[in-house]
Amino acid sequence: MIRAEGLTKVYGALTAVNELTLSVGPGEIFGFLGPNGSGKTTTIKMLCGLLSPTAGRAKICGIDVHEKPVEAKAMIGYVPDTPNVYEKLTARELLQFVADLRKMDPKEAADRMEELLYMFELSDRQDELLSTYSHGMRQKVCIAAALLDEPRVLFLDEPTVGLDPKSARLVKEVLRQFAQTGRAVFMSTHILEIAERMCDRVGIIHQGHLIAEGSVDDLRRRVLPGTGEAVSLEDLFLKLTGGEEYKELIKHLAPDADNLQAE
Amino acid sequence: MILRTDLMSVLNRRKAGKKGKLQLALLPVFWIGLSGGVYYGAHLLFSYLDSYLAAVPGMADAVALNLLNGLALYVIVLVFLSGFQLIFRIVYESDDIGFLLSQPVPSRAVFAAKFITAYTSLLPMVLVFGAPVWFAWGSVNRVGLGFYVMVMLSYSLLLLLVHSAVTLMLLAAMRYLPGARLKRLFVAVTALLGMFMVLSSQVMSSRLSTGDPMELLRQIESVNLKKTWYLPTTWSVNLVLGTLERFDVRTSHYAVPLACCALALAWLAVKMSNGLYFAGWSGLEESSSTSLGKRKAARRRKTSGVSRVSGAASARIHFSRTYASQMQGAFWTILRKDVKLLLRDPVLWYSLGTSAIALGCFAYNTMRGASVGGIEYSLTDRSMLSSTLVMMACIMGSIVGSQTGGVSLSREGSSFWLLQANPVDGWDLFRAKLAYAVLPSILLMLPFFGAFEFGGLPHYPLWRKLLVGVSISTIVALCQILLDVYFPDFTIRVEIGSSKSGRGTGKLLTVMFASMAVALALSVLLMIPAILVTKGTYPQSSLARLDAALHVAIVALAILMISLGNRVGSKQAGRLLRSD
Repeated sequence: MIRAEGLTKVYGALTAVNELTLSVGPGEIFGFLGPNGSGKTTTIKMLCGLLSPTAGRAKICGIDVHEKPVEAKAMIGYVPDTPNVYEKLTARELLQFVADLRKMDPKEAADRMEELLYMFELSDRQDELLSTYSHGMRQKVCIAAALLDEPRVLFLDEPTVGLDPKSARLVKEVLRQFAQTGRAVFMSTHILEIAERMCDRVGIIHQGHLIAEGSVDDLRRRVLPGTGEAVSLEDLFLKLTGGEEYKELIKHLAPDADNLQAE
Repeated sequence: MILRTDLMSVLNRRKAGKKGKLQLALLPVFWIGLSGGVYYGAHLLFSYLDSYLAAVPGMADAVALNLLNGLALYVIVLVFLSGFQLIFRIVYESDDIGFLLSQPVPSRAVFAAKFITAYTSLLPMVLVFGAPVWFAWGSVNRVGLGFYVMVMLSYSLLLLLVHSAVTLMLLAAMRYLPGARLKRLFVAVTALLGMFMVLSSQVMSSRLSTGDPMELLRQIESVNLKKTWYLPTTWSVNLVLGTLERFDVRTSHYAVPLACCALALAWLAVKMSNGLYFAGWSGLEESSSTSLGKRKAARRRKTSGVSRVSGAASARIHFSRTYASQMQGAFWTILRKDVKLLLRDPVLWYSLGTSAIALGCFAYNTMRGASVGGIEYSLTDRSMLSSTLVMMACIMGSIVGSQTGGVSLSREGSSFWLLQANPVDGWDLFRAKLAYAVLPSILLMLPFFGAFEFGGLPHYPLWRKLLVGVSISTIVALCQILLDVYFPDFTIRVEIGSSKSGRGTGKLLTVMFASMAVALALSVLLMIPAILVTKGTYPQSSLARLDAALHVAIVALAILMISLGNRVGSKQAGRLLRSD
């Protein structure tokens, strides 16, 4: 359902994403991991048609996102990393705006809006301006907007940032159910526990290169053979992205930390 | 230290590439050019007054002093009208305040730094418009160096006084009102002040409409400086006049109260900020705008009961009732959204309101002049008057459009991703923005042309004026939107007459001046037949034909430009939808 072929984005001297190739099938939840500035958001934006790639192509359900953007976007739901919305619209009006842009059937849109607003506990405040909403509430509105049209593919950039534990749990449940209906989910996250528990496969991007891809078990076997389930995704991630080198530095900065912990 | 950091941020713009360097270099050139223009204009005016009013002793001085006193009053009004916004933005809305208040620094110090920054931001504005007029008067009257020094001192003190008073009012208001409500209050107060000024000028103009020079002198002297000794504006003017022997005024008599009041108010503002500033800043993000939500929620509860199922059912009924009249698809959806956002935005009401007042005054004065003077209009006059009406409406429309529809793509701001991520093509986006940009002009034209239609003033038919006016406005809107599509600035935040935190100010000014220039150029074209007939190039009998030909040409030009502009603009809008 999602296919990236040699996707590359160059900003001047910086290659943000370098020849990234991957695919995500129906019913799959794909976790996209990487350190800050590694190219996660750029990749998601290119896959959604929000950013033109310097080279390569992205296809959603067989449609080239950059050749037929309108057709491709009709199949995509997107949740950005920061929930910037029209502050002078209410939550209901924003959802109505998205429903109209996507030419949804009016009756179906009304039912779906009601359902999503109720599910995300926004019904009571649906007629208040979004400027009065907290970051987490806006995030929920963005997720609701992305789910409104029941798209075939859902892209989420750090969806749980700013959400309270209850809402984060709800989002995880919604995504699981979404994938169970044969749709694809592509999400980036820094919370490795979420990726480990939820994702069928993960991809790790580092300095614009996709350095690993597969299920968490696959990666364990490939990266740290013979260690079994004792190795967490965090260990794998740090091994692959070079985070371990900082252990020495941390020891140097806080030499007594181990002693204090022992005490 | 905070001030030094603010200064460094300004200077560091030169590190932000060529654009930043250019902006930094052009800013003083712009200010100097503007003040030079004001000086030149004022010099011409005072020289003319001196020679024209030489026959009536004391008249030239009386008129000039009233002008200069009025100028001091203008400083106060300027600080109230735009300074209020600027001070609010700098003192309460600067991005760094949260950071500064989280540091071990007394809130009074943060306030004092922002207070001085706001003062130094206002000072050039006041000096550029105020000082050159005084300098021009001084130059005409061949005064000494002390005069010029006192002008600068007088304006600096007057500004400090008004700035401190406004800041004190802000401190008190912010303590008790949430930020959102205060902003709405700004708009209401500003509009009221604007209306008051227009009405006062109308009253003054009717009082001064006399043919008798002695009566005119008496009227002018009725508002002289001796009678208004208690006003800070009088202190400011007399402080300067004290340097000239022919005015029996002592500088110290006015410098002392002006300086004392200014410094005392500034001290009081800083002193009071200790308790008020932090409390006010904390309430900045508070909103009282929930009334819309409360009303709707109450209505929803009333119609739907308490259960969720009935809520859905009621929403369905409501939806099916209202949806029949609505239109789906990207074009209508974007246009509807923009109009809805604008109806909730004070900028539209402010710009539309001031433009409507200006057009209303023009209509009233023209019709009053015609009825009082009993003027018989010739065919050429009729043509010229009709062209002037179209020009006025188009220029006002272009000014409103340059703050609303003309920059509506940029005003999508950080929410632009919502359009990028949904199935919207460039064609729909461009057309929706164009339609939205023409809207203010049409809103202004209808009542304005209608008033003349029913006021019985001679002109060409209403439908023709509307057609030509809408054509010109569409060309102007097209230029605005093309400019916006090719050079978008998604950081732009339009407030009353300016942009928030100065972001996008250059773009707003460019769009405004460019669209005014286009509207003016096209409107002046309309006057060409009347001018040619007056000069005798064509006989008067051919005027109607010439007018008609020109009108057809303008409508054809609009159609041609729309089809070309749509093609070019849609492609660029499509590009924007696919990239940051």
